[in-house]
This record gives sequence, C-alpha cells and structure tokens, in this order.
Amino acid sequence: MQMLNKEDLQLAQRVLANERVAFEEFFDIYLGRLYRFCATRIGDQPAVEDIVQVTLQKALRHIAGYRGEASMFTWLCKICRNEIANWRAQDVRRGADSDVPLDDRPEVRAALESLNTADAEAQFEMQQVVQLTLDHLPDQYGKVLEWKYLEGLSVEEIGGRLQLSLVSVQSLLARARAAFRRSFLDIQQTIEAVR
Amino acid sequence: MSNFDDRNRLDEDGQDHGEGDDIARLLRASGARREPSLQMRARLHAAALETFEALPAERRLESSAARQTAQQVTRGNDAYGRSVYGRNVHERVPAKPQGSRPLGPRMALAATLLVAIGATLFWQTRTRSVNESTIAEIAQVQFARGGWTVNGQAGDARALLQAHAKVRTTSDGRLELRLVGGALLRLAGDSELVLTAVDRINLQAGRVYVDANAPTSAMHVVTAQGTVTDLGTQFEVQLSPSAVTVLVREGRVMLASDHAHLTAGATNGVGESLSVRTNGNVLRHSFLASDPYWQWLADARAPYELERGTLHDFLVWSAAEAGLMLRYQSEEVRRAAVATRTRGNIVGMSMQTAIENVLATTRLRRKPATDHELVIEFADRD
Repeated sequence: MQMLNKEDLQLAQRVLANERVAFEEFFDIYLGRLYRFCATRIGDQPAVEDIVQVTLQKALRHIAGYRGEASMFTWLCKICRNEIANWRAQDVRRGADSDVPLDDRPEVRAALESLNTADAEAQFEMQQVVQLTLDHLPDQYGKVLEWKYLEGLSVEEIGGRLQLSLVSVQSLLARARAAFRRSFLDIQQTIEAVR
Repeated sequence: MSNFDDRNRLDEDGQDHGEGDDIARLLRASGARREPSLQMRARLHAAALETFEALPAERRLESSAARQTAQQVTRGNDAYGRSVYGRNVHERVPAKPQGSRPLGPRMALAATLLVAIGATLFWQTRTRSVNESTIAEIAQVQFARGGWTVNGQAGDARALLQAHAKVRTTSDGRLELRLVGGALLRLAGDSELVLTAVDRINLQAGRVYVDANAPTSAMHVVTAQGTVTDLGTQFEVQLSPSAVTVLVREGRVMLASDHAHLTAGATNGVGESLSVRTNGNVLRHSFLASDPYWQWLADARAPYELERGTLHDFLVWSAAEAGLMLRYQSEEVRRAAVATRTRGNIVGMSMQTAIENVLATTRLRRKPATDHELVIEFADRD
C-alpha cells in the first residue's frame, strides 16, 4: 500500500479551498527551498527568480493534481526541474553560451589552481549535502536544528518561538536529529551510488 | 567525498545517541541556508498571491477545449526571453490538465479556431500596449510636494505624464512617479529628468531614486556621464558636473560609461556606492541600507494607507522603505501578522515611529536586533 504524505496533502487541500493562511504557509515553507534548489543548479543569476516564480505559479494552478504520493517538495522540484530545462534550452537558443566562463580566464584559472581544490570541493559538497538534507526534512525539524546549532538558541527560547513546553522541544529536537541523520546518510549513499 | 566522510561520518544506524555534536559540527561548517532577499521574496509573494487569488476563476474553466487552447497559446509564446519570462510577468493561462483525453475532430476544429482568435487578440493587445507606451502616457504622479513643473508648466497632482515629458523640481520640490512598466521613481529637489520610455529616463540634473521591484523590463537611467541599468533593485543616481554616482540599496546595478562598465551591489543590509568621475576615476564605498540619509525618501512618497491591508503588508512595505530585512520570530508570529488588519494613519511619522505605533495596537512588537533587521515577536513573551 502506498504511503501518502498526509500533512502535505492537507496543505494542498487547504490551498485549494482558498485558505489564505494555507497559501502563506505554502509560500513560506517552499520559497527558500525552491530558491536553493534552483540556485544550486543554475548559479546565482536573475533567471533563478523567474524560474522560481513560474514554478510557484504552476504549482498553485495545478495543486489539485497533487495526490500526496510524493512529498510536496519532491513534486515542486519536478516542476522546477522542467522549468530549468526549458530555460536552459531557451538560453542556448539565445546564444548565452558565447560568454567566456569565469574559470576560462587565465588570471582566474591561476588563482583557482593556487587553492587547495580537494578541500574546497569537499567543503562545497558537504555544504550542499547538509543543506539538501535540511531542505528535505519536515519544515519544523530543519528550523529547530538551525536555531539550536547555528543560532545557539536554548531549549527555552525554541519553546518560546514554537509555543511548546521544554519537554516537547527536547522531544522535537531528538526526532529532528534522528531524521537528519537518516536523511543525511541516505543522501550520501545515493550520491555515492550514482558515482 | 571520502575525506569528508572521515571527518563527518554520522552514526551508521542513524539513531540519536547524544546531544547532536556531530550535527552541530556539520551545520556550523555548512553555514545557514541561503534565502532569497526580502525584495525578491516580496516580488515572488506578489506574483504567487495573484495566482492564488485567481484560482477560483481558473477552476471555472471546465471546458477541456478551452484548456487545450490555452495550453497551445502558452506554448506559442512560452519563450524564456525577458519579454515573456521576465520578473513578474505572469502566465495568464492554465496548463493542460492531467489525464485529459485526445480531442475529437469537432473539438479539435473548435480548438484550432480558438487558437487563431486567441493568437490574434494576443498580437493586437501586445501591439496596442507597445504603441500606447511609446506615444501616450507612460507615468503617473503618485505624490508631489513643493515646486515642480512638467515641460515648464506647473504640474497637477495625480497627473498622467506622456513620453518625453521633462519633469523638474525646485529646491523644495519632491515628486513620486509610477512608470507604466512598474518602476517607482522619487525625484529630490533641484532635479530634472526626461521620461524617455516606460523603462528609461534621462537624468539631467540632481538625484533620482529608483525602486525597480516590479518592472517588466530592466530600468535604465541615462546621464551625460553614463547609463545605469538595474538588475532588480533599489538605487539612487546622483548627477553632478564632475561625476555620476549610483547608491545601490538593494540588489545590483550596472554602470556603463565611456570609461568602464562596472557593477555595484548590496548584501545583508549593506549597500554600495559607486562614483565615476569625468576624468575616469572610480570611487566605491559602503553604507548601511538603513542609513538616515534615506530619510529624504520619506518626503517624496505617497502616504501608506493602513486600511488597505494586513499588518504583514505594512511590515513588508515599511521594511523595504527603511532598508531593513523583515524576519518573524516564529511561524506563529508571521501568521498573526497576516491575520491582523491595520487601521489609522501614520502621516508625519518617521518610519521607526510608525512601526512602533502600528505594532503597539497589536499583539506583536519589534524585538531588538541588528541594525539591518526588523524582527517581530509576540508582545507578551518575556
């Protein structure tokens, strides 16, 4: 029997029912994730905004077609991937490839070669995997992990933000850590498997 | 990945065995997740909200022929050039529904006719809008104070301005204009510009502030000493006999002069100013996006109508005006802001006072934070 993503499906149904708060929730949860998904693939350029915009608009128009078989984020990534492919095809037709890539310039290449590329690549890859993991966790899990370990918030402060008791926050953090570890290992193994 | 694995390998069984030192180490090494800028977020929110609010109307499109037609027209114009795929250029038609069946011969004929009609209407509309933008009104006065003229004549509040209109302010004059393309211009005193087109102005003296957050194409500010082109941003251009200076408060701009093509940008509440002197010398320096210098903009903008929206709308607007990054302390706080309607007026107040006063009428308050942030939390949390 196929598992449904119940919470995501409920959110989709609430958006479909024209619930403004649900729209805001949808926008807040997925804007940052889609932005990073797109920026990671095409780099930091103005087209990221265009592609994310069209992805959000298409998703909202077709949200009735979301059945909960995959997570909402996976569904959005599929739309975004198609938009990136369209943009790339159009970009090639416009001749954007005629620009000389930055690392083809001799002075830049020399500077890059002076760096410890192995370390730099590993650091970059690690950053990508960590952020990908956070983006694939339930929204609240990613947030509490960042609040706790990046912003240094205490359990009490997190409780204040989420209106939860200390025990509930500790339990939430434990679940978030376990989910992070599982997802992180899954993503690592997937990357290694495709190499 | 092998070096990385050795340093960062997590517990193989994926279980939680401690307080998360391994996760803390990973997160700190990786840094915070990148987020879109406040301005980009506001633009994307506006576009997505428009789509969301149009959903019921689109659902009424029950005819599969109509949907099929719409899909075909979309494909015909689905170019990723700025003209169609530019920021805030919204798709107008729904895509093909999932699971739709092939059309029968009659439906296909009907669809073909509709495609032809749709394409003709699209072309006519496009042609008309281009003509209108080049020969008719291309801007409207949003706010005016002090002395100002259009083509040498005293101007009227809310006046529509045609292409090639020359606008001038006296020393006490302030003017806010909205271009048809969506950009907002604020003209300081002793300034003069010509409205060349919906996306192009010619600054001949003084200072102009450009909020290019929702234009359909890039804005160009042409001066005798170079052309400034926005790359999605808020910026000011100053002209003096010896230099052209651009102050970028949000996003990036490109300044092209006889001497060089340069870019300047702003990040995390720190803007950049770029001056190119007539002798070719270039000067750069940074400033806070919330610097008191920007107070002059308060004298050149239409009053915000609190009655027209929610607390969230007001906070987005006030943060952009004050050069601050808006952040909610929690999801619950954000929801409360979205659900709170605002009333009253803030005429004559500084932006900081307006924010404090508006928040004082709600359950929320401003939390002390960094200079470039506007952090909102519940008022009853101590």
